[in-house]
Amino acid sequence: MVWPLFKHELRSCAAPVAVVACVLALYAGAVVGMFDPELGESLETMRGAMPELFAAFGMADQGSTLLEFLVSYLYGFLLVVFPLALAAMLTDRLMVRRIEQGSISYLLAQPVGRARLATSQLLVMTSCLIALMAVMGAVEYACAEALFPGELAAADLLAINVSTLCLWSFLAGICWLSACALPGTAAARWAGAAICIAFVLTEMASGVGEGLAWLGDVTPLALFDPLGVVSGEAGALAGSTILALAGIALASVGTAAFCRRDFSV
Amino acid sequence: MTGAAKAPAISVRGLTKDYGRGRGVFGVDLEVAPGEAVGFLGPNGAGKTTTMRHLMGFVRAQAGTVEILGHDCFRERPAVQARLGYLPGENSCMGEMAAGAFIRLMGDVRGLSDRSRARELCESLEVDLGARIGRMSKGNRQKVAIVVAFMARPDVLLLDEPTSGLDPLMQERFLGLVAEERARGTAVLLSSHIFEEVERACDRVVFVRGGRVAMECSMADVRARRGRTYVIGFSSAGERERWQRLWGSPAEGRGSVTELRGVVDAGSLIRSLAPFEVSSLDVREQTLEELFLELYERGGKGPARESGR
Repeated sequence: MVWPLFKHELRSCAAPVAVVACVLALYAGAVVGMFDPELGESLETMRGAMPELFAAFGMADQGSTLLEFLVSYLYGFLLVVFPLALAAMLTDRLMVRRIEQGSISYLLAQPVGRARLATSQLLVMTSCLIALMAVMGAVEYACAEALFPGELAAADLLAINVSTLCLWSFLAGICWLSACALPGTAAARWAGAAICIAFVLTEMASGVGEGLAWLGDVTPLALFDPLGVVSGEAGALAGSTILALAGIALASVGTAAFCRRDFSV
Repeated sequence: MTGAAKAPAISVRGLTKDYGRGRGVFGVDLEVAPGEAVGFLGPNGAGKTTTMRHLMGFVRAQAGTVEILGHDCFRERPAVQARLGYLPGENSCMGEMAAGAFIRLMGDVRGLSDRSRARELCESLEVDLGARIGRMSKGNRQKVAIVVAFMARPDVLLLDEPTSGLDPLMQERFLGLVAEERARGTAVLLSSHIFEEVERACDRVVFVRGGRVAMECSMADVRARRGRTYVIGFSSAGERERWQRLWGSPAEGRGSVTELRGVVDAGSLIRSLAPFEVSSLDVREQTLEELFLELYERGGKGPARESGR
């Protein structure tokens, strides 16, 4: 890692991370607040009226505990889509734009290997996603303790967040690989995000009707089962591990491609 | 080549990179000795920047070897970059940063402990360290890039269109900087399509065209070869045509003005003009570009390779 570059890039990425964290924190607070039984009945009524729409957004089952409620209303869609948008934005800022604008030439002209340069940039994105998850965990726990003391076990929340981080690592790995390996900047910028969005849309479509339910099993997102991780199911644990390892592998392949490719800058 | 006994600081042998449709470089040979400044000249798309990118290790060669100070430019990039200063042709400093912060960051990434040279350069080039690079003029951005290229006292300098955007005063200062570096023993490869800057900064020149080295000669050789260009204004087009029939040899002319290139015998020209009504007479030395074109055309269909070494 190149420490001065890491510090500089981390500072430059702080603003978008803070914006996404604020938006998600607001949602998280609202979702925890919605666990109120009376509002819950209202939501149940709404869900009964539009079951396909709720299912499409990963809210098929309200659950009986605050943890299940959070997983249903927060982790099924919002905590997938927003971090995906952030990962796409960060890979763009840290890699694609540097290549597109040519400023990568100044970094490549320094006596540090390409692998160190790429790793620095990758660690900036990783740090941002971990920081976002830490903020989300803290906000969720604080809101839960304030509104429903003792209702949310910290260890369970941590397990869910670690499992979600595995999913984020996978999505970020796809974006990183696309940014590093594809020669055209438009493809580098959009291909990774487009693949991830296709996964999300497929997952959403699988919830719309029973005829499309099989779609839920064809994307890597099927490996994401946070409640299964909390209950210690081997399949869920393996799924999260596979997502994390796949994310690391994708990022490594992207970094290797960065080391070998030609730069017309 | 000057300093022929020394091992070359820059050595390119048979460099080939084919991008298709005739684009790329094909069998380029190039050597620059320590303390030598070589001009790398040619029209747009000739292969100058492609060669520079190979020297920077940005691009892997399809064939041939590209070495700086004995290190392979692609495989041993960090070892090469540690002793290299690079001024990119496309000025692409990080626009979101202030000039001072950018220069500091580049020094930090390089692990540069002695920043005295950077301070000297900033003072000499009057760099506004607090200004945001993205809001600077092209010339001011170029000054920031020059500071970054020169601040580590490199052993080799690769300069791609270095004076682009600089005002005449700063161009002078830049040429002074290049002279200082050469005196210190730095090898300089200056890629440009501005012939005058090469003429002043370099002691050897390599012309490229269509991805191939078309000609290579010393600046002393260039000076010895070139003649003068005379631009003669006659009182009328008819007067010009009458003189042209007498003069015989081809001259470019339009209306009442004619241009004679590569004139060596000025006396006979002036004598031939005496019976005619001449309204103006301008004389200038043949430019490097004109010399290149003349030699290129003389080579027939393909580029002639000549060596002034």
